[in-house]
Amino acid sequence: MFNIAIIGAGNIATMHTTAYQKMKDVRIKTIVDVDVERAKIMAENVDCKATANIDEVLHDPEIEAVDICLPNFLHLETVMKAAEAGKHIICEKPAALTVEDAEKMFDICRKNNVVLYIAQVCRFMTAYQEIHHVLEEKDVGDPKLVRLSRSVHYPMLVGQEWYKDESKSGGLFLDFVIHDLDFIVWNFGKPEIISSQLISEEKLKGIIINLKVDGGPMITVNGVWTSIDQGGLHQRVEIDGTNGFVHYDNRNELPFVFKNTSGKSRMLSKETLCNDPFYRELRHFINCFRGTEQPLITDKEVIQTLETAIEAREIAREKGLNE
Amino acid sequence: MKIGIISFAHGHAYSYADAIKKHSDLELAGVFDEDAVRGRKAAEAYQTTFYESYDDLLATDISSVIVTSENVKHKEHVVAAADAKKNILCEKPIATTVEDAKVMIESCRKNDVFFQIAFPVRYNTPVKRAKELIETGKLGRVLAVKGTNRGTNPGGWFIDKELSGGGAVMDHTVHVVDLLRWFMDTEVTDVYAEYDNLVSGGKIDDSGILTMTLENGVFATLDCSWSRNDAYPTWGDVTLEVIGTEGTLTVDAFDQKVNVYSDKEGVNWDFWGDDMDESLIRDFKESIKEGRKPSITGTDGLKALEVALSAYQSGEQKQTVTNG
Ligand SMILES: NC(=O)c1ccc[n+]([C@@H]2O[C@H](COP(=O)([O-])OP(=O)(O)OC[C@H]3O[C@@H](n4cnc5c(N)ncnc54)[C@H](O)[C@@H]3O)[C@@H](O)[C@H]2O)c1
Repeated sequence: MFNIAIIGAGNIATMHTTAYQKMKDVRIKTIVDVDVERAKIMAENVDCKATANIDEVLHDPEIEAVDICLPNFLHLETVMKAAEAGKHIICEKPAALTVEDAEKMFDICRKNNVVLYIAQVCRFMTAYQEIHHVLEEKDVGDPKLVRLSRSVHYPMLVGQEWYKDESKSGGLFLDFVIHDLDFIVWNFGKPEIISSQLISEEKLKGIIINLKVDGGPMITVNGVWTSIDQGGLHQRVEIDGTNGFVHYDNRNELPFVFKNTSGKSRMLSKETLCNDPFYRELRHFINCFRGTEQPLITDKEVIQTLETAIEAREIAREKGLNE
Repeated sequence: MKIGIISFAHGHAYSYADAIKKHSDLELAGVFDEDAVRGRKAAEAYQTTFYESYDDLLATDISSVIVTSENVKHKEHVVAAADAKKNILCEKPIATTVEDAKVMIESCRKNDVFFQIAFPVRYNTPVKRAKELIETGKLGRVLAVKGTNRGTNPGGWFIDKELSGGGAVMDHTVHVVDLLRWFMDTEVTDVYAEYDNLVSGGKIDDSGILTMTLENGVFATLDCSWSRNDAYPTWGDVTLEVIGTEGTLTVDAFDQKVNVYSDKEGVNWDFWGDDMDESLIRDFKESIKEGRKPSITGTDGLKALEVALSAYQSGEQKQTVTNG
């Protein structure tokens, strides 16, 4: 049995616990949250211990790994503590709020002989894996023009005010389009930024980044946080190649639509329908801890992705064009 | 758990073999095929042993067998496997006649062996959600269902009635009928059907529309045609529109795809969704290991077959026939 603790019992932790509960060889032993009531509610579901004190996890020799599901600004200090306590670590994206912090995190893990995996979930979405495969097989020739778009309702569940504070979340660049930047690094290598622009209204935050990869495609990344509830995440990928193009839009597909007389309708998002990406992601990390799989995401890629996000934010703040 | 495959006549044999390879506790221990060339090739591809006769395969220490031969041969192969006391997974349709199906069910019962029919669509996530939704009553009382299970004319033995028992109506009626029975725990009472050879050349039925009345008062229609051509971006579909007193539900089971427009390969919908065949194999394995009853029984296979046969009868007589 592989014992794990979850640190932070918020939104994403729910997805993680559901995934772990499907694994017969993994046990969630403890759930930690400063708001101990939150930890308790989740722990009741899982049938494990709840606490507000992370030391209980760090001093528990049975726990081999921690899964950090905390607001972004807490990733660094928590990773440091866990590494020093000799725990393997899964940490939600973005790794940290600066490149130096992220490097520090990987360094301390190396020193303490533990591994750190950053949870870039798009790598584990079967749709994105299919696109990766299409590119590898050169079904559309060499990729030349890439458009990546992502939008979602402003993350404003109770207790999520930290998302609005850029010093805590990193804003749209670090928190949200990090997924698309990871996709770029994964498929094409580290990009250069041509331009980066930001719209920042009270109820609408949006960014457009233009990038290019040496010897590879020109890329546009578009990310939006809006106050309009669009019924979940909308993500799109369009890639034009020398011999065709590939197109994915998670809203174009409607495997399941339910409408009822009370006016409610439900369209299940494909990502949660089957092949739960969180399950696939966490299963992969556990297998990596155990040495039965090799990590799909390298430290270097994590750093390059973060570097790109931070640089894009800097450029947007200055004047938009990278000169 | 050691598994054998009898015949690679049906393409699903390959996807089941692939699924077996994904499970470390399953071993494809041997295969038999009347077409020795095809069988040897498959044995080589899956690094397993080819047996010259199914008796030789059944005499080995395999515990389970998958029967994916031509429809008309299911009976011979299932009965032999049952007599050899193997657990059995049989491709749909269960057989081509009610008599054969009954003999198969009886011989499995007599030998007390596990006997499951392969209706993989039950393992499709949107379809599973539809069942949950109907069962929780969120649609109110179900009034009607419109279904399609369209596909591509597979050619080969599928269009030879002597081996397949029929064309599109035989091949594609059973999936959606199985879902109707499974969703609502009811049986089809009347069937009216029209079928013909309309789109793909040859002689066998490639187009069919069924109108069915169910015991619970629901009426349903089904388009079971092999009407998808070469240029269509995928092989076919399973869609359901369910009308209830409190709501409507549409399911498009395979709408989980990336669109690829390739100069090399044409337009394709690259599927990334449910691996139903893998889920079916997993369920087969787990049911056996945990000593559970098969989740899809021989009777489920028989009941679905009866509707396909009623459809042929109705089409011939040009009138509604009572099913079962
Ligand atoms: N698709 C994705 O990959 C995805 C989606 C959403 C969130 N995330 C990431 O997951 C992480 C968490 O996001 P969320 O949406 O779940 O946030 P959240 O605000 O819903 O949850 C965070 C939880 O941490 C708790 N917490 C705060 N400070 C703490 C402390 N010092 N010690 C212990 N617990 C503390 C809070 O009480 C809260 O329960 C973030 O890094 C975010 O970027 C990833």
